[in-house]
Amino acid sequence: MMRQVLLLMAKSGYSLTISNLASALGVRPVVVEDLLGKLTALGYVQDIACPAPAKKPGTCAACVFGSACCFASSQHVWILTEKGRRAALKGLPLGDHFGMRS
Amino acid sequence: MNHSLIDMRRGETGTVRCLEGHRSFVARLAALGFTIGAPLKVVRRSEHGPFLVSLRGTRVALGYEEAKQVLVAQVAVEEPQAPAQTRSFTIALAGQPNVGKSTVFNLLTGMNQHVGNWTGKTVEKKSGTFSYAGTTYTVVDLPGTYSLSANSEEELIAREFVLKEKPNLVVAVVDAANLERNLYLVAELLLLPSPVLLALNMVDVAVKEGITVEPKVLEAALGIPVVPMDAAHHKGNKELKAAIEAMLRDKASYHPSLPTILPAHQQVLNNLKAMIAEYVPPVYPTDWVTLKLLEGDEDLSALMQQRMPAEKWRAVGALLYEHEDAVLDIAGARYQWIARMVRAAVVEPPKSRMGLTTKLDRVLIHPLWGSLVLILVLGGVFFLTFAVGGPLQDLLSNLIHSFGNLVRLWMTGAPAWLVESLVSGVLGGLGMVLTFLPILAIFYLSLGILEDTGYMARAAYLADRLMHAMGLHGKSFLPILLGFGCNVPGVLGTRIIESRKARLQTILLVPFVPCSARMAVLAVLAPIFFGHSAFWVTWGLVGGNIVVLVVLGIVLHRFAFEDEHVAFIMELPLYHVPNPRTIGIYVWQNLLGFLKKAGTTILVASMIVWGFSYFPTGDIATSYLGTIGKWLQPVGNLLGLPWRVFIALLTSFVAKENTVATLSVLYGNLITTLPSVISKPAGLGLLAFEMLFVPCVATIAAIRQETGSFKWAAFSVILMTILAFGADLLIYQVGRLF
Repeated sequence: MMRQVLLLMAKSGYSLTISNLASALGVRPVVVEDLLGKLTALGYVQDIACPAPAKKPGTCAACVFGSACCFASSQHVWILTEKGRRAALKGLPLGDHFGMRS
Repeated sequence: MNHSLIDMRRGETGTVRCLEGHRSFVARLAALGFTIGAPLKVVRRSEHGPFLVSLRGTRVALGYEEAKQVLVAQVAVEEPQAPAQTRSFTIALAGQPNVGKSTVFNLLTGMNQHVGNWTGKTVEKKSGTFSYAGTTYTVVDLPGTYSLSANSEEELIAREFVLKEKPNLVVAVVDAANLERNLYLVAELLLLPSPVLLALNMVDVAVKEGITVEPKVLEAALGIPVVPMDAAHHKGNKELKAAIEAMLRDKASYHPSLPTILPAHQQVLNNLKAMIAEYVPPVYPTDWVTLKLLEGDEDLSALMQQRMPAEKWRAVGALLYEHEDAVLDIAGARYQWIARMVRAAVVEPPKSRMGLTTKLDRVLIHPLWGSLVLILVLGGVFFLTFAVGGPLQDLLSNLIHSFGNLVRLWMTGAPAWLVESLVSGVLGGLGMVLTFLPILAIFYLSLGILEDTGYMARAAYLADRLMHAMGLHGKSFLPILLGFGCNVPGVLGTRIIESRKARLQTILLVPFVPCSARMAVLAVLAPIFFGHSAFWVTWGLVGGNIVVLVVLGIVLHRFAFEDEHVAFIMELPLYHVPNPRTIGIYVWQNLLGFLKKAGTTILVASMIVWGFSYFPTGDIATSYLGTIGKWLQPVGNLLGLPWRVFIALLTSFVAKENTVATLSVLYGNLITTLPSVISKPAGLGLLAFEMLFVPCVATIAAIRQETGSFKWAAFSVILMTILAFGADLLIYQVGRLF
């Protein structure tokens, strides 16, 4: 499922929302958030959004983006890293390739 | 041998082979744990009466006719067991933070608790005891962890305890309302040697949130006992103790469903296992160590490196490097496993505010309807700015002129240069710029409200489709959006782009994004030339800027900076009612930033312009500025602009607001004088020039800094000057024909 996220990001013509991705994977959005957290920790995706706590007064004034930033303070934006792109392309085509034994 | 359940005698064990009968009957039995392959034991039976079967840690009673429809593969008659030697068991309590693990621990142990620290660690260790059915149980509360990957001290403590102390049972406490998140840890615990029991806590919270978890189905899917609990309200304690007792008494029925590795990686796993097997410390299961090494576990890598000869470790390292991304399939399979469990056991999807958000998003992020709404929303922002901000700005402007006349009266007898420097220089320049305040306040207020409701994230998402056409994706998107606030942070924000081509393209495009300073200048000047039509003119000019941005992006992408595109994932927040305090802080911070700029850069620039327009003669026509202006007049004639206006355009190079400040210094009251010296086509051309010309010197300095080259900064200035001049010339020359 993790490689599937990378593959969807690499192959998608347009950007995705967490809801889009959750629908594509057949899971709830919280799972996608967890997946992205793990992929970020492993270096396959990068969270490029503002690291400051949202809406915290004074934080933005100290930021290089200054008070001009009105878009990035309250949300996360994830992007594939080069490592993520390589891993996505190395992966198998989308489909049932996540073999499970029960 | 295949039999029906009724053919089995008391004490016999077997596995479920097949279920016969109606679909609803089969589904009901499956929910009770009768899934294919599930081991069972006949606990009690009568000739034609009910059957009591032990299955997956619980006991299920079936009628004779029902038992007939359960086909089993008989295994053996269980030998009578010797009485249990151990009358004391150790139980580890594991779980993620905030799942109510401490509440479950308190519920189990009551006052019989001991609090200390884990040996050699600063992490708190809690243990306690309880007795049930004549047996004493020691409960160890493990630190709250999200996984067992040794990413933190807590994770290391938890897994080392389970591996080295080998508790008789691990009770995994999960939050029923967040089952997906919590099951990852369970997936990891199932790989360790101790059996696992699931305490499904906070079922009351799940119900309140509209989530229904079916414990029996979850039990059947996981293959381990599941006990629903509401520990906070002391519910489920007895059932949990009974399940613990039953599980430790009947270990044979523990057959968990495990997530496993892809067949493609199985061979690698086998090779790795063969390489390390003889060096794995006896306390660790070799399979688990192999899997963890493949997952890139640093702690175990260091351990194995210490224990293995260097050359053998090098071979292991090479294999691990080659399969560095195996972790994706291992962890991915766990998520796939979680999804299956949840699909089986979570009966209804959550019904919360997400419902409203989803409904709204169907329209608001739709490529067509969403774009239309975005245009309407931005139109609304402009309309508010003009309808409310415009009259307020006029009022302030008149007040400042009246105040200037008062200052002239008060300073009667003072040197003329001093009076004029204060009235024309300070009040005329800086004062005029300060009249922007109502416009900016409304502009930032509108943006603040849009952001705080969660709409701005949708606008950004829609904008990405536009950027797709320009060949700009992912990381280029954020700097471009930041440019709407101010181009300088937009240029600096390109640092997040690794590809040099994409970064250069973005740097060259950011200055074409209409920043808030340009919008403010437009909001002041457009009504002076176009009165009530100013709204449409402004709308057209902003749209024109975006068209230029897109076309330029396409051209640059196609002919200069072609690069690979990668999409990104955005988190779209839930819609909610905006918080007045948050918006107030946002507006205040932005206005404060503007006032600081007005008190420094714009004040100095106004004074310099005034000085050049006053000295040496005190008459603007024969001043230094007048002399320079006359040299520039031929260029100004092409654009239908008097030299004073052309000078104002040039001063906007320092800061965009200087256009208005300079015009005010040179003309006085703009509302009455400008329409008389500039025709409408020339005025429209002037506004287009403003929108496309270099935003400010700070942006150029940022371009120089970020590209590390004067060449690109100069290219940007030349490109913007040519485009601005070309657009102005075209608009004026075409406009004067009508």
